[in-house]
Amino acid sequence: MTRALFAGPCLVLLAACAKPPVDTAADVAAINAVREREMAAFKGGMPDSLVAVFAADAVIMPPNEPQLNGAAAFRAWAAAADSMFTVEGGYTESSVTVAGDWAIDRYTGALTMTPKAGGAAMQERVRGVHILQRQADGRWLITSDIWNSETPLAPPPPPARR
Amino acid sequence: MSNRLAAGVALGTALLISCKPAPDPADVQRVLDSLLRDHARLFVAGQADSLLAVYTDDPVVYSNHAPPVRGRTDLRVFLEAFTSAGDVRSLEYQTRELAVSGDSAWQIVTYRVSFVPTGATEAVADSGTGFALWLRRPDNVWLIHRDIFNSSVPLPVPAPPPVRR
Repeated sequence: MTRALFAGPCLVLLAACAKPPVDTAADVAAINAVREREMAAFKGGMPDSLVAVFAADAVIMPPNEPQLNGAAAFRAWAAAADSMFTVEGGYTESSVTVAGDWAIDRYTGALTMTPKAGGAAMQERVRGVHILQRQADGRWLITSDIWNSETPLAPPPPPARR
Repeated sequence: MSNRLAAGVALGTALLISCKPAPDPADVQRVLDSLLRDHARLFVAGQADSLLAVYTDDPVVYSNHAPPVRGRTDLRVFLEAFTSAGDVRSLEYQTRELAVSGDSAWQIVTYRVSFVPTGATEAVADSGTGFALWLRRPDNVWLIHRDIFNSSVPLPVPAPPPVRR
């Protein structure tokens, strides 16, 4: 009887504290698909498809450029990028952490950007973070994206020869 | 008190302690904002050693155009190089977004910094954005675990190549 007196409250406490098992495999698969759709749209010069995987009020933080607020600003940025470069390559690694209706997707990528106006192609090794939020309809959309480059800055040109 | 009763009380107490309530994001933001103010103050003071205390034991920091900085030893070198590259006059952070999940939190911040590069006489301003993943230790201390940041200021346009005569 004494054991039961102790066991009862303990079981109640355990039940109250226990978190239901969360199977995030489906979420991770969905987020992986978002990332791949994003890259395919970026490389394919499809800004409408690109912004479709971002929330309407997404914040995009490219390096050495002002922060882009919202899908319209991002669409214009992507269209401008597409008018200037042909992009090849893609993501090389990713790590997704799901926490409820939020997810963090840390990624790396290797891109080759060839100026459409001519000139040498640029190799970029990038790394960044997508923050995603599960929408009311269950879809995952990117709400924030920040990245920068692992590629060192090119050294300044040598002084003019006379 | 019988041994059984003592054991029951101990078990119940342990369960209650382990059953932590979800943290209030507003409380967490107050704590993280305070830690970022400390971070800025230490940066301006050039105290790289003290800055290290704001990071976990295995941090990774991604600075633009540089390899990832992994671990406290490399981070110390990175912070020392950063803080000795000039005279940091001011540094401010502002939280733009924050989400908390259990013992982790992610935060998007903007920063504004003014510094005089070594060898220069005039201050240079920079501003940008960053993402930090924070982890909370069992003793309730929040530490930066992952950090990526970049400047929003365009890179200087390189001078045209010299004309050879």
